[in-house]
This record gives sequence, C-alpha cells and structure tokens, in this order.
Amino acid sequence: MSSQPYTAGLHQSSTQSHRQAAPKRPLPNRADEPPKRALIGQNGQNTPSGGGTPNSTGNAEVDVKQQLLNYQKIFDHASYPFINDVSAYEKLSKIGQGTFGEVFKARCKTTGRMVALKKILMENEKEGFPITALREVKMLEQLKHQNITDLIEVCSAKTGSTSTSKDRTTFYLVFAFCEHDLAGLLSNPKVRMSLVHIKTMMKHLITGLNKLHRSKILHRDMKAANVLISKEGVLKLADFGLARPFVQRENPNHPRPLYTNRVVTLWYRPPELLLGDRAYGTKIDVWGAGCIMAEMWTRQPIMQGDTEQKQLTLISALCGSINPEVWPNCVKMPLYSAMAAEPNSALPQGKGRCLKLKIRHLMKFDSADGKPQSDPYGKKTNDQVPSDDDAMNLLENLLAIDPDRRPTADEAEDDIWFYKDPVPRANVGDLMDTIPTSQFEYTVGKGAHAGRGRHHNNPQRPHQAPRQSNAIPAGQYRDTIF
Amino acid sequence: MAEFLKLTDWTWQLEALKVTPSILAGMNKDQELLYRREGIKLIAEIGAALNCKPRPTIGVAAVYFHRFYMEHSFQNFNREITAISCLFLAGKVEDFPKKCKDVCAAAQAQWPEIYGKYHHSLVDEVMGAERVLLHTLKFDLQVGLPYDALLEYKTMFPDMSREQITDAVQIAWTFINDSIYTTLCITTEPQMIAIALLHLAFTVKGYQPVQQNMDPCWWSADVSNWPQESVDKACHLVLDFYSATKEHPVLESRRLTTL
Repeated sequence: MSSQPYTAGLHQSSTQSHRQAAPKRPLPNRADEPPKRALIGQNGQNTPSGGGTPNSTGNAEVDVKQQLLNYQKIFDHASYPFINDVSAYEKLSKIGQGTFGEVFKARCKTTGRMVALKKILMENEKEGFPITALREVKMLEQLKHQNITDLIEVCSAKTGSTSTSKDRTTFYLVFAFCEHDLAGLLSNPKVRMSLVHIKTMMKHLITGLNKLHRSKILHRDMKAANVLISKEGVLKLADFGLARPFVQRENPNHPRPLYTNRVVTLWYRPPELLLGDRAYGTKIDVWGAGCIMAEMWTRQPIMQGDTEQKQLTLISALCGSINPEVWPNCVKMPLYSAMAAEPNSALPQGKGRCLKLKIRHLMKFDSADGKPQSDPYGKKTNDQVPSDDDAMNLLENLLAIDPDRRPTADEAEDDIWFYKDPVPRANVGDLMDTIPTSQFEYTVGKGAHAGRGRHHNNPQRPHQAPRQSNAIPAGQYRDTIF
Repeated sequence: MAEFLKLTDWTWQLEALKVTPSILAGMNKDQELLYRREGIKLIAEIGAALNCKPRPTIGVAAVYFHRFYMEHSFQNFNREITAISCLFLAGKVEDFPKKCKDVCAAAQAQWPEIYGKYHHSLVDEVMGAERVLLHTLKFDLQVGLPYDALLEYKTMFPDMSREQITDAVQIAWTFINDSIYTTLCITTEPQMIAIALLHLAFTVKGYQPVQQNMDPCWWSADVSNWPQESVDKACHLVLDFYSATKEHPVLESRRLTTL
C-alpha cells in the first residue's frame, strides 16, 4: 500500500543478504568508491563499534525450560513502571459494550476525573493484542481534536494468576468521560432541542469528521450511538474500532486499494456499500453524517432496514430510485447488475425522491419567542413557523445517492447553513444542563434504567456490522418513521 | 535509564548509550552493540522471508527493538524473542499483519539454530513478549522513519542534475535501510537521519549539492544549529557498521553470540 519508489534491488542491500552470499558489500553497486573523503579522517573521536570479538564458546545448551521460566518470572514480577495500572481508577458502573470489549465508567483516584475504561478482550486472541485496538490507539494518538473522543492513556491490569502465560494482563483504553451519547439523547422525548442546538451539534460532528478525513482516516461506523456529548455540550466522534487509514488516490488511473464492505451499521450504510463497493472513500462517512442529521429532527434512525435488500429498498423509497441517471457509476458497483435484474428487485425503479417531503416540515426555525419547534415525536408541526431551507439543502446533499455528489466533510463544514442565523454556538452546554441523568443508549434499553427512553417498542439498534449476520432478527423490524 | 539523558520521549543523548540497562547489568558497550545488530539481523531476515519491506515494517520493528533495550537489558530479555515480537507488532501497527504462527514458523525455518529449541512454545513466548513490549513502548506506536523526509529532499536541490539527485537519494535510501543496525534511531530524529545520510551519499559520490558560495550546511533551513561535525558523527555510526560487519558479518556463525 505504501509506495516503494525505488526498485526492489536497492532496498535489499543488507536486509535480504542471503546465507550463502559472499561477505556483504558495504555499499550499493553504484557507489564504486569506498566512502572515504572528508568523513573519514576524524576517526579518532569515534569509538568504532567494532565487530566485537564474538565469544564463540558456542551456544552452550542452556536449559531452555529454565530460560523460559526465568522469562516468565520477570514477566510476572515486573512492576511495569511504563504505563499506569488500572487500579489508579475506581470502576463505578458498566456503561456499554464496545467493538472489542466492555466499557466502564470510572473515576481517577488521584484527580477525581471521570473516565470511560474500555476493556480490551485478549482471551480469544490468537494474534496477541488485537489489531483493531492497535489501530484505534494509533489513530487516536494522531487525532487530538476537540470533536474527537480523547484517549487519555492505555492502562493494564493483571488478571488472576493462571498457570499459562495467556490471559495474564488485560489492557484498558482510558477515555475522557462523556455524559451522553447522541442516540440516547435523541430517544429521550424530554430533551427539547432548538434549531441552534441542532446546528451546533452538526457543526461539531462535521468538524470532527473533517479532521478525521484530513488525517486520512475513515470512520466506517458513523451512527448516533457513536457520537458522544460531554457535559459541557461538546460533541465527540467516538468508537474507532472499525476505523482505518486510507490512501488518497493521486493518480485516478491507479487502482484503488480494496477494503471490506462489511462495515457501517446497516441503518447508516450508504448505497455504494450495499451494492458491494470495496473501493469506497470518505463519502461513506458523509452519508452517515446525513443520516444522523436527519435523525436530529426525526429523533430516530430514518431508515431501519433489517436486511441489506430491505435497506436498499428503504433508501430508494426515501431518496429515489438508484439508477445510472442519478448515479452514473452505479453500474460499476459489483452487485448492481445482478440486483437490478432480479424480478423482485431491491432496486425498485420509478421512485421519486421524497426526502424533502418527509423531513422539510420538521426543520422549523425556532419560534419568535425562542421556543424550540423541534418535536421529539417528529409528527406534529407548527405551520406558523417557516422551515429552514438551508438545512434541507445540506441534508439533500449529504444524502445524495451518488457518492461523488455528496460534499466532502470539508465542503460541508463550510456550508452556508452554518453561516446563517441562528449561527452555531461554541457548545450546547445549556441543553445539557436541562438533562438530569446520563443518556447512554446502553442504559436506555437495558440495565438499571430499563423501560425508560424510547417511545413505543423501537427495535434495538443493530450493533457493529461485521459482528452480525443480518442486522436484527426478523420480526423485530418496524418501519416506524416513513 | 537516566531520565536526564533523554532529549525527547524516544531520543537520548549519546551519553545514554554508555549507561544502558544492559551495561548497568554488566555488559560492555561493544557487546551490547553486537547484541543489537544480531537482534536487528533477525528482524530483517525474518521480515524479508515474510515479504515485509524495510519501509515501513522492518524499519518500525527495528526502532521498537532499539527503544526496548533502552529500558530493559539483554540479560533479562532474550533478543531473539524480542526481535520476533517487534516484527509481529510492527506488522500489525503498519497494517501488514502477519499471523503470529507464520512469523514464528518463518523464524524457525530461517534460523533453526536459534529458534529450534523453542519448539511449539515460541508462539506463546512471542505473545507474552508482545505485552512487555507494549508496556515498554507505552503504546506510543507511531514511529516516523527517515524515508519520508528523504523523499522530500529530492526536489530541493535546484543546482543538481536530476540524475545526480536521484542517484544520491537512492544511495541514501540504502544507507537508511542499513542504519537500522546502528543506534542512530535512538539518538537522532528521523528527519535528521535523512539529512545525515543524504549528506553521506553526496560525500561518497562527490556530488556538490549547493553552489560553492553557499552555506555547505544545506540542511540549516530545516534543522538549525546542527554543525557539520555532528552530522559527520551520525554518518560515522553507519560507516562503523559497515566496517565492523565487513570482517564479521552479523550472525555469520548462524548462532547468537553468548557472553
């Protein structure tokens, strides 16, 4: 993936010298004169590293077992001065289930700071520390931004002393704690959001996404449940368990690297992924941002398919039929031809785009007395108050069927909507102050807070795409919105 | 490791190399350097057998290895196990993951004299060592390599012909590949390594990077206050490696050196 600009021969000077090869040539062929000149001559001050006189007493057959035992001993008794032990934090409660482990709310014993501890399960790992967690750590180190979840440190804990070398340490990612997640917030009808709240949150969301994309990273799991809100009212993109770096294609003739298309929770999955695209880019996250934006008004996911086919049908019903007219490149999608040819196709033709019809009337300006007009049930509307057409425009663009017509996060961040009244604020702290308890989605449906939250019987949100066979079990599906 | 000898989180002053954990535990400096070269040789050869490239996987693994032994001694941690776990971890971090058992199998196939004795326990050893490694590296896994900086210099010498600069950059590239055997990466920032080794390439080929009347320290726009002597010192580290291994190629005997 990384470009190797020079011919292989050159890389290999010493890294690939073979066993039988004659004593290594110190310099590549081209440098036919040995490196003397100015550099040599000041030799005196440099201790030559020397060949070292190998004390070739041969490899005295050390008792391997003993050696391993010693190693193990060091491992067991090492005091690890390098990273903190998780006992520095006091676990308070379990707040969720991440891509690769449980999440706990905890308090730092010394500073009192609240954190989220994300446990990394190692038990069933044949490959050591999970690569997904490594990616997440590495990416979050790169992504210090106020709209991206803040990784404070990585901690470890020693688990019970089992006789095997496995399962001895557990690692935790330590994040700054966020009081709320967007899914939980939106599902609470008591939370009344005005247009400026929505706009501020969207601005944060898009700004965070832009930072991500500028850092050449795809999130690949955009959804309301992965958007956290601190108690100061600042949005943070979270859960980088599926995120990965991408390579920008400089030359359009170069083949794009292929990624798995089993990403993004079904309800937020864009048409290109549903049609089997594996050369996708940042626009998949933009679609997710569009779904989240609509959800700000509808207060629940706008397209809740239970299978990939159903999801495509729902997209067609809301955003119009998928065909080369609206999306010239759709014929290049691996599954398009086969799907379009099916008799009872998941790509119904002749559907008009009715996104505007369904949502515009919800996008009300705040009334003159400043009262929010957003309705948590997404049904009632106040005809006296005009709709915000700039918001509608942005939403239309974010949810364009053709990925090339969706704006980049950078373009979206500069959308005219964000410059019109009411302009976004620094945070939605005032909204947070009106909410008494933590609104993590996890606690809404389950656990101590069971029964609170969503009106009626909403299906449980599907979890991470790769972990599920087909989203939610059949029978649980309800087309609640449209 | 004495904290005051640290320049940044992961670079140390040259003096730090005289008081490494291994030296404090009774090794001498030359022995330690030899041990480091042997570990790196294992990384490079096993990596090559697995189709890993010097940039980034082998380069990153080598940096992990050198950093690890600034915090731990060779006496306490086998270099052959550490070497594999560095390679294994770098593969995952750089998104060219290799299965642990494949890495171990390659190691045992390539270096039966060294890894044969571990039989089936090698995978578990590597897994265990990976955790120590992650602890030691403090999960600071993002490592910059000199290659990127080097490529940027390709366009910065208007006074040189295209052929000359391409040639010099290619030679410097090879120097960088080989510099992993030295302790350069724990005393010098990646960009400075690129500068030093490009300077070495110019010197070796007798190229004139800038016109006579200009500052011969062409790097001073990027790294100020870096005198020619220090740059030369960095180059010597790599040249010393070449002269040291000319007579005694690393792991010539196929066995690790013992004290």
